[in-house]
Amino acid sequence: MTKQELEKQMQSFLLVEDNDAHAKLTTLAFKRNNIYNTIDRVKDGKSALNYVFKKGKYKNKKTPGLILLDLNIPEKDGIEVLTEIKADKTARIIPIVILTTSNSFSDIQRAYLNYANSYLVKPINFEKFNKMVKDLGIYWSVWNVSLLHA
Amino acid sequence: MTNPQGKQKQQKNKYTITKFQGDADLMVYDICKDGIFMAMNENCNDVIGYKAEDMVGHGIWDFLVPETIKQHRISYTKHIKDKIPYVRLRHFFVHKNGPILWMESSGIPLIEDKECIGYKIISKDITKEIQMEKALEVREHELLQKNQELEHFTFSVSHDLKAPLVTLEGFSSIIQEDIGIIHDSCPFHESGVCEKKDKLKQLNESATEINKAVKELSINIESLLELSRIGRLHADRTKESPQKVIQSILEMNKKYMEQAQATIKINCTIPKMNVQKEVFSSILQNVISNSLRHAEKEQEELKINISIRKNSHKSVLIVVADNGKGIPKKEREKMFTTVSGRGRGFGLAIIKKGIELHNGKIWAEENEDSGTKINMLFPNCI
Repeated sequence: MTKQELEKQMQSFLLVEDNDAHAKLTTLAFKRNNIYNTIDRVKDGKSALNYVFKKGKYKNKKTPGLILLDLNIPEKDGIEVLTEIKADKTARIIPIVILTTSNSFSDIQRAYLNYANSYLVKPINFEKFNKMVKDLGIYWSVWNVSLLHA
Repeated sequence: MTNPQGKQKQQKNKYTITKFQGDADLMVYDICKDGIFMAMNENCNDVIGYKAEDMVGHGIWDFLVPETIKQHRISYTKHIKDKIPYVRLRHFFVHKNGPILWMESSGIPLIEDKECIGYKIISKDITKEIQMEKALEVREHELLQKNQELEHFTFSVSHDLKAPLVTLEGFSSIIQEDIGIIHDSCPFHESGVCEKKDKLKQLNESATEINKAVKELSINIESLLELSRIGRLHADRTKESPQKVIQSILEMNKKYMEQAQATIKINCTIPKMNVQKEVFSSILQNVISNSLRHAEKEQEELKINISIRKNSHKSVLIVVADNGKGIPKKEREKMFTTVSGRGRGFGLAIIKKGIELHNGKIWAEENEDSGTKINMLFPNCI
């Protein structure tokens, strides 16, 4: 199987992140750990919802296999995005992993009460960050059985 | 209140005025089936401003807040019927001079021929307690609000401080790694003909310096956040096994222990301590990692002995002793008296704050075979 074919078969990840450097860092960490899923990135909550619900310029996008969602984002914040996706009968099957710098109890609580599938705090230490992204990529692209591709 | 003088005179012999030996703020009285005061102690003068002789012969209803009379009458009829006691019933009396008083009353039914003929009641003015309760409630509400504000503030601070740090650490690490890759993949290095070798070496050193500074900054900021969290924690104390807490700290510090080639012995004779778990763990984490860091300089073998034993009655003494490079006497003496964790991040401040929260004491000594001995005394925790 060629790399292109492999990429086609693999689910794409949607990264919702307003911080350019963090987005780059996350993407780089995926690449450095040989995780080749396509990563599409949007910068705000509104675009994230448009992407998921295939509106406007995102109308030809495939449903992502995983959403990595930052909480502190413009337009609509992470919790609003989470709530709207989990309220939709079709879109709610997409696993949503919160990826944020906040480890405040109220954020963690709000995320889980709104059906987040997982909550990750970005470690400052790059070694840990790298390891986390690697584990995350392997877990969701290799081990996890998605309903989308079942 | 109308004063039916005639009636009182007529039935005077039926009423009694008593002297009560107990607390001066307690009213003790009997009321009949219809709620008329049949006996009253003299304290009522101090409590609600009426003399006992002015009260006997009158219904208790005359002294209640008008809006509550109906409800009390219904309840009283039911009590009489069921012959059940009143237990700490809260109600109002109106003081002779006008103010409304919060009262707490308990009463036992007076039984005659198997019928309830009235109640013997003891009433206490609890207005001050209620006012304090209310003030406390307001205070509690304010505190809750302040806490939420702080929680929010910590979130934004942690986000604002952490976000650029994640970037800094990430990219400086990547640069360092990439320099390593370029260096290793250049075939001319070994032969010494590569003129870029020195530049690469310098680049690598620069990146290392940046990386070190960033790591230090990260540790400081993480500690600062931890310190602010500890200061805000008003967690209840729980029973924790100090042995288990220490073991999980050692688990987390495995890497540093290996780096310092440390052997750690725990001698614990206390099964459970009553502590604020998170704070307690923070204190020990910082003390232990201080010991580990103090030995990083080419030590053959670092030995850390941790002992946890009963000190006196209810207090526990925890001693963390290492054979590291030690701390100069001058510095050691004021180590925990000022918050000046020079070169040590905020670790000392966290330890100090945590000990304070446990009303404990901490002091440093020289260890017998060089090194440092940190003593921590936790009172009232077993």
